[in-house]
Amino acid sequence: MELIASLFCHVSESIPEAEIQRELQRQHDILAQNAASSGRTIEHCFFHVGEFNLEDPDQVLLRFLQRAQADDLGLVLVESKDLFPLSQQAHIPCMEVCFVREGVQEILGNKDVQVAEEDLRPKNVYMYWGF
Amino acid sequence: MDAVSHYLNSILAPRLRGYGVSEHFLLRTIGIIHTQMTSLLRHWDDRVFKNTVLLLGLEEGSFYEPRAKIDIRCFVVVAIRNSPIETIQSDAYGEAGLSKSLPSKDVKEITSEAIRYFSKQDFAEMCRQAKLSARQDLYQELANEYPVAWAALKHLAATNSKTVDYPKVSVSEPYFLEGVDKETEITATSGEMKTGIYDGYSPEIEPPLMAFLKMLSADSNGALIVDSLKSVTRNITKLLSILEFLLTRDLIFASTNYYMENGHVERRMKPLRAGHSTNDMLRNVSNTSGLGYKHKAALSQYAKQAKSTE
Repeated sequence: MELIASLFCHVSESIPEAEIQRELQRQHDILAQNAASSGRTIEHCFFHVGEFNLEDPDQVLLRFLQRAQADDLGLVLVESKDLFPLSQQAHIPCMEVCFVREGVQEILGNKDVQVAEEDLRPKNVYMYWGF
Repeated sequence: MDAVSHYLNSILAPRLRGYGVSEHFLLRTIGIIHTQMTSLLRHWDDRVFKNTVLLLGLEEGSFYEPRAKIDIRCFVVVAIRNSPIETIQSDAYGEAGLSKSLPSKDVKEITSEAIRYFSKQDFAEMCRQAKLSARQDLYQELANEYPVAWAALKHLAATNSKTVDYPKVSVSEPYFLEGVDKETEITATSGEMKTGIYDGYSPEIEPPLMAFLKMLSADSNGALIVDSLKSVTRNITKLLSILEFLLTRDLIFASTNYYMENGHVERRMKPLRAGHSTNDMLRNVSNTSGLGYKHKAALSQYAKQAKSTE
């Protein structure tokens, strides 16, 4: 069975705009290398910028929680605990998180927590084929 | 003479002359390819930027021969094949001064020859020389002009992940595309498929595509589905303007290999070869195996709507 991972990269808005992309890419590269070394393919990658507020999630955090609820994140890789400040009792759908720098793996959240689901299907679709 | 000038003047130009193209067409084509090459090579040491541009050639470059490094095959697609060379293979061949279109085997020889040539070149040295060039930095200009489309492509290129979420690029107002917003009577039906046979490098938006964009612009929950990027156009400015038009309206663009909306993108991990017939295209769209969750939903929705309108 294929082993999968999802990468969660985060920066607060307190660093200058020019550094945000560099920092996200730096975290991504470390996590992608970790996934590859453990034989995991990367299913989802989340680049989050701003306040880490899961009670009032922005779009990136909400999609992250929705994927956790759909149980298709695999192992969530985060560079360090300070980038993902949650307790094991956090009010989020259940997920298994690996903090790469600390070298620890934890199950966070609760299976009973539900978040709003997104309607995935566009209402109107048009197909164009030029040649 | 540097490696790029040698290729253009001593390899490509004699070949095009041999096919009988007009001198005017030749000069225009060489000029465009020179700008595209220099502009891409200028960013060759910037991994994310380079990969963003090369992504535009990945659907095709994955299948190009000879089997050189994938970056070189994609470089040939983006900088050379995606140019007025398309015109000489299309029904608009007369614009190149030809009396008939060029067979696909001749176009394949152009790309194979370029792959063989550039496989032997030092890209770090070509990058250094390109940075000294006074030529237009086309791709940097496009990145600035189409920030929402560029961000989507950049995030697709930045990772090997199947799906990527990132903060939406803020949009002050939807991108205006000349012709689409005119008060003209154009109608199309959801679930409809249209085939257009046009010059794939022309900057003009052809009527069937215009009709779809017009219908989509009046709808906040719609998607344009195509077989491949090249089935929309080989003209990068036109492609980015169409993507910007869709994504700044929170509409979806999906090919059989990519899915894009502002803030979320997905990719098929092993790209499918672009279709060459209606059957190929329908088979590609129906192949949702291994796709990300939104990509799969969009292609499945098309299949469902297409059936209901039959």
